Amino acid sequence: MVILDAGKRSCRNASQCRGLSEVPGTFWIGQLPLGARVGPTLWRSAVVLFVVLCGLIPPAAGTVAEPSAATPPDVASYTIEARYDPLDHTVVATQTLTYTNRTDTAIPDLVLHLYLNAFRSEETLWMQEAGPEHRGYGFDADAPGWIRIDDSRLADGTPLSFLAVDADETLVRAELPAPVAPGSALVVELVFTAQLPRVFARTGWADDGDFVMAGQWFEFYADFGGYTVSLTLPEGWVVGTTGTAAGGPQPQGDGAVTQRFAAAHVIDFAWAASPHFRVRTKTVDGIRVEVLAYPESRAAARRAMQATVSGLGLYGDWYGPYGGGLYPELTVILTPEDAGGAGGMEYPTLFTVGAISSQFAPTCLRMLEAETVHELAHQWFQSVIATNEAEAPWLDEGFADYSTSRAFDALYGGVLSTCGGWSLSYLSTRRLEYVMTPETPMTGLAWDLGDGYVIATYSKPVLALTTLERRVGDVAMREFLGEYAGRYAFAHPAEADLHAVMADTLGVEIATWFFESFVEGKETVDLQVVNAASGALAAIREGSLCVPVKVQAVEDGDVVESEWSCDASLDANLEETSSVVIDPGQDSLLDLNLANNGLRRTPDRAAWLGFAVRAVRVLQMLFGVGG
Amino acid sequence: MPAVHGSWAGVLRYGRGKMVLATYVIRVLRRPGPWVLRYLLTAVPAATLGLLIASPLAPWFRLPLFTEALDSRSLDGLLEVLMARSDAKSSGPWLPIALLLVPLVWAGIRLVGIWLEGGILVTYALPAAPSWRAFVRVSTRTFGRFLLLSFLGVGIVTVLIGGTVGLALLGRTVRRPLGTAIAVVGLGVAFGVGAWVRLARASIVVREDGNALLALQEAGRILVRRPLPILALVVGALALRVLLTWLAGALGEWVPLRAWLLTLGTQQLVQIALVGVGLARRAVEVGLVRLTPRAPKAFPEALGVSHINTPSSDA
Ligand SMILES: [Zn+2]
Repeated sequence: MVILDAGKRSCRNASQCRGLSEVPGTFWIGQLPLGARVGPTLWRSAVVLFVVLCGLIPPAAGTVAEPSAATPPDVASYTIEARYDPLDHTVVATQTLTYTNRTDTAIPDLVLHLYLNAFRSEETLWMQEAGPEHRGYGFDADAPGWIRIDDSRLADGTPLSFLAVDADETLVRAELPAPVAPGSALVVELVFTAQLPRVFARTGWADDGDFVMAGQWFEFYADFGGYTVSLTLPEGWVVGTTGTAAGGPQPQGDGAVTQRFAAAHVIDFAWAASPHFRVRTKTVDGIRVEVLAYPESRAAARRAMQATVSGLGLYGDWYGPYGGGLYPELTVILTPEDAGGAGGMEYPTLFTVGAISSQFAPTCLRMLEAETVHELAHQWFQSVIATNEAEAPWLDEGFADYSTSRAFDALYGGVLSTCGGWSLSYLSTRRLEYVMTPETPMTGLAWDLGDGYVIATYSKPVLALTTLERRVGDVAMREFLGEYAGRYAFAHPAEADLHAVMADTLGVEIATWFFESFVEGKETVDLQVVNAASGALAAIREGSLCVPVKVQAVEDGDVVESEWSCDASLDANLEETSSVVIDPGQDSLLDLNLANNGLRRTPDRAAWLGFAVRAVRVLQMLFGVGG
Repeated sequence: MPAVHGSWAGVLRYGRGKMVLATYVIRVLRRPGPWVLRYLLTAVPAATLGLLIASPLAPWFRLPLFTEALDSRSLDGLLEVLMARSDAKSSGPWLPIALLLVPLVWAGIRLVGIWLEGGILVTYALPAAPSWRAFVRVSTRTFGRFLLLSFLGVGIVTVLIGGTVGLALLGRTVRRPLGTAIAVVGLGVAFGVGAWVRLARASIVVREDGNALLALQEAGRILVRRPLPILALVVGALALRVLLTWLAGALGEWVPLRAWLLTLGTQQLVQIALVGVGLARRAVEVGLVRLTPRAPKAFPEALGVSHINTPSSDA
């Protein structure tokens, strides 16, 4: 079953919470840092936190997210000088954070994220809630993670004292000597030590210390900004980062080398390094694509590069240029064998592949390609079209996964696996998930979705959007997608904004149908051909989910096609038909059971004989084994 | 003897050996009894069981999605049907029973196959085809020892491969190159042991070596004396089998589902050819045992076929 990075996101952080609807127009975008299947208690505490933090900062007046295509104004910018010790797996760093108050209210305090503290032990609230397993990868209590602020002061030397907001100290808050007035900036100097854990929940070290993935490794205030980062690593280590190289390498004389990197208009900065990395590069339409992989993953690196390059072309066509045209580089990290927990994660201008050991699957199984194009799609749906992952998680995961499916259609005819000469489509794997709990609306707060999270945010959206695409046609669908992506580049659209774009491009009727039936509705449908009492065939509809379909009937060898809308009964005489198929083109992918969509009066004898002689042959082969 | 003379003699001997081996392959074509028997041995149970499995599934062939999925080799459609019919009520208890029968039938076929082995080998060993009575007599007399040899072969392969894999697992970090090496060595060992056991069988029939263990010793001697022809035989037979199996698979993919007669014809031709490859290999093994002078000491035991030790003079 393909669940690429399901359940990856949890509710997040103060700035996001603040930015939800109370402070419209602010950039709250969040890389959802930690992850996973977050239990109800954590969600509840997140809600409490949300209330607390929103209380700290009075909401400003404003309107719903305004469409904007301009470059995002910097809110939080960083200059970091960090040194990584691969023996202790620690980062010692100094950090200058420049925070600009883009709201129209004075801000009395500063709240920073210290996510590594969630990995202090198995006792932290996050670990208790997420469990010591994350996407199948275990937590090593002997190799925990933490982060400590060693010193903090304002630019003028005034010391700041940070106090924990939560029990795990993943969020700290300092009262400012004077509030930051709207439009003015605050500069904070920090010295910190970060202990990286053995790879768990996307961050840490692996391969006996020879691999490190640093995500959420510094104190941050999640919002758009510029980064200048100097990384000091042992000589010979190859590093991939958010942004681009901006200087170095400069030998430090003690066997270490310093390299400088810069990134603009990003909300986070991640990096990965290893002495074993080999770099593969390619420049496409002015974007330098870099794939970092271990030598034994050479074939996988080639495949990831191929998929990335193809995906960049397709997504650029459909959703506008990568990074809104602002990001010159894209880095893909293939995580080594024992660092799968760091795979399948997206950061600004960087993503990792390897969460599902896809690199080691046979080439007939395109898991690596699926993971690559999915994570790549997040560079649009989240990084640029910055929807709220907590409030409407389907808006980024659903669109990222629908993009994956579209890319698979364009690149591989929609086929995920060709192993054994049998094809398995990408959409089929999502159907397998959907039919398990189909009575799930797509809309809903992440913490309310519970077990329905995967269905609501991945499976149903990709099937619903494909059903929409098959109803309106590809040309109209692309017009809608292009308009949505263009209107909300570097903005924070909500469901209502998507609804409006859909109504503008596809019409009010379609938009209403889509939102009422799929987004908000939990109705299902099962279209069936059954034996009527007379022995003739009959078409029936079970469930109230509305999807208009075609019906194909064979009568005396002639194919007769008719339309079947939602509200009416089928206007076709099936008395004399030898076979009937409802929705032959599979336009309605949310049908609970596609097998009963067609029926013949009598079994297909030739096909049965074909099957029987094949079965005999297989048995003959089997019986010949060992003789 | 001068070296040059010796090497010439060797070349001549080798050339004559190949010619003689060819006569054994020709016997496979001239004496079709074993071919028919071995084909029917798998074809009859396979046809019976195949129909037993396919019959209860006939109602599924009313679903266009199912037949389309089979025809286009799409797992999507198959999964839809399986999900919708997971209760398996529609197919009744026949399908599980039939599937349960598969391993039992396989074991039965193996036993009958081992019983037939003596008769098959003696058919190719003799200058003239033996009578059916002789065939049955040799089959019956060799059955116990051949069964023992089969178990020994399987045991040796299991111990060797199990040991190698166990050692690799003990070393904990099974890197992929090592895993590949283990697989290659394991397969090599399996084929080597297979050839060894088959030569021992041939030796029992040809040389009337009574004891299975002595026959293995004798077969080991032949393996050491003629490693290249035996390697060529094993690799050649394997290559032919792989080729034919691939051909059968490709035909299965290309021929449309409904063209069942074409499928039946082509697949059975491939199946008959596969049986032929196995028999040709046996015949050559018999020839190799014949061509290799026996060890000084032997324990003859009458097999009841008087002219079994006459020199190979027929062509
Ligand atoms: Zn995702």
